[in-house]
Amino acid sequence: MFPVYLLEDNDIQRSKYAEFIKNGILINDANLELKVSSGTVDNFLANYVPQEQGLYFLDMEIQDDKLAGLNIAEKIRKDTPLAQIVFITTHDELSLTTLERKIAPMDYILKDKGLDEIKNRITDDIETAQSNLQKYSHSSKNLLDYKIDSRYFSILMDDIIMLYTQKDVPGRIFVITKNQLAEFNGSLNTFETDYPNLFRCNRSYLVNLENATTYDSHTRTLAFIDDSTCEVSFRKNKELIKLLSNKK
Amino acid sequence: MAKSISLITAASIEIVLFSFATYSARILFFIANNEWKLRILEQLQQNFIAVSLIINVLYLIIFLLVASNFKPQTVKLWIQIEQYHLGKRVFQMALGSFLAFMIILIISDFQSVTATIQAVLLLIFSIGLVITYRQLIFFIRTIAIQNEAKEKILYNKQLNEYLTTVQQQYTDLRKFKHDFQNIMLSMKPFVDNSNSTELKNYYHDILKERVEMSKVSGGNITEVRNIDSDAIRGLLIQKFFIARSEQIQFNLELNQTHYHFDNDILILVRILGILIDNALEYVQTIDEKIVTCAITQTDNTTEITIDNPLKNKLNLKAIFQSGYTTKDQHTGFGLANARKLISETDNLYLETKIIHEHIMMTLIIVGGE
Repeated sequence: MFPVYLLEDNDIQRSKYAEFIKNGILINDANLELKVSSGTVDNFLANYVPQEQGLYFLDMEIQDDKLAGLNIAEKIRKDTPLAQIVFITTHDELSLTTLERKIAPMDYILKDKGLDEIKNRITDDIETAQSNLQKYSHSSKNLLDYKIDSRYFSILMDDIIMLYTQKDVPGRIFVITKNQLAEFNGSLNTFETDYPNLFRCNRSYLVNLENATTYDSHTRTLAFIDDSTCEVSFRKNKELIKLLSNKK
Repeated sequence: MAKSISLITAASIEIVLFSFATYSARILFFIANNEWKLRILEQLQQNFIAVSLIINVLYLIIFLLVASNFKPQTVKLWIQIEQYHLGKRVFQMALGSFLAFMIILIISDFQSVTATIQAVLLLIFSIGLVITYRQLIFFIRTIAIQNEAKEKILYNKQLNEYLTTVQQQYTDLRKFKHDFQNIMLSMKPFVDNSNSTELKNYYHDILKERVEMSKVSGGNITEVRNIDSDAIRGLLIQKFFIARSEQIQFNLELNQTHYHFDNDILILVRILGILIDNALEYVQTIDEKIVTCAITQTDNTTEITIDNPLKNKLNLKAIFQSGYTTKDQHTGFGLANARKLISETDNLYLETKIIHEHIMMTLIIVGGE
């Protein structure tokens, strides 16, 4: 059973949202439970269990503190990288791009759209959260972590397509995911050791076979779901064919 | 243009190096035989050519090693040349010195000038070449400073004009709010006397709206005041006006009270310029004409995000390749150039993410605080 948290300072709205959440859980037959429904930051934090996988509905502005919701979301994100965070807020409180950068919430629900829309969105979010949380709880090492200077970044292993290096930028690793291209300093060897589920195709490519689509063993070309390809070294050809046939 | 300049410069350098290599080889042979006669060279022709070629390669390697130490400066110089459209002048300068050099060589050969005099001529010419190069750098710097000053005046003028308009709008808005409050107050007795609960609820809703109205602010260009770098502030203001003239909404999310920039500003401006131009050009082809620039800064890391809606699918790796473009009439070197600049600068990282049908390009700048 995963917990659902709700933070909203307006009493009437809070009770409405709580009702929507309970309904949404029933409709989706979700393995979730509304555990905390708070009107103040202090109350929220008193009931908050760090590092608990869950779904969080947060209002941005709580009792004149314009950034209360953001601060709490940052804390949750830090404690639990995979927590499902949804903001319910008015439009002018939002700096969407900054928020996306800092928190990457699962969804934003705009209050201006009216109660019916809010209700629908909450129901949808519960469905998504349910399937995400289920997915995360299955495998153990489901995040790939890296660091740029002092900042930590995490990527879902399921999303990883490949890590690669480029000759013209020595010491830098590029990572391609289903929706992202990022770079950081490091060596592929370390990642090959730390993440044994990734396959080293050749000196400069470390790939996630889960996201591979086809392999042509004549040209030794491995293709991926985003249409990118990578050449497999002669040495690794046999190993790959064996791995792929085991997979099927 | 860049290629022709590189070619001519490379040719001049190689000719100088080659001449020096030949002279070095001559001196070597003279010393080895302890006889200062040209006849020796004739006798040992084969060896002489081989040795001078080897020495030439050595000189070339030494030159490349020394030059690689100056790579950042060279990159900076190139950026400046491009930025201030000096390509033509630099090309003329390089071509001029190259031709002069060739003429010296040819005429001294025709006139059968003695080797010593030719060597002296070459030496003097090489010194001239170095001085020309230094002069060129000085010249570019002067132009850079001049242009910066000009741009700054223009930016400040535009900013002030805009801020005055915004001020005016705020005043109007405040006036409206004041009137609104008065109207609401005068309506109160009517509402109180009415027995429609719907009307009463509605009235209270509107009163609540009034609180919302007090937040009408933020998210506009006045926030660029928080950035302490003239160049970056100037760039954002310039792009803001370009966007406005093309009916594109250019949002700034600068929530912090102070943003500090001091390193690599020239390169940052260049990369940001490319990223923003790219976003502006793209949104012109779609309905939702919104571009957002958000900056967050912590102790040691600065993140600048350029965000725009995205309607088609993209291959993230492909967009940074030279020549990639989504438009028919465009060469598409912008992003490839930005990528190159980032690769050449150690403390810059680029992250590209597609989320909620938006594309966000984030430039991460480490250190420099």
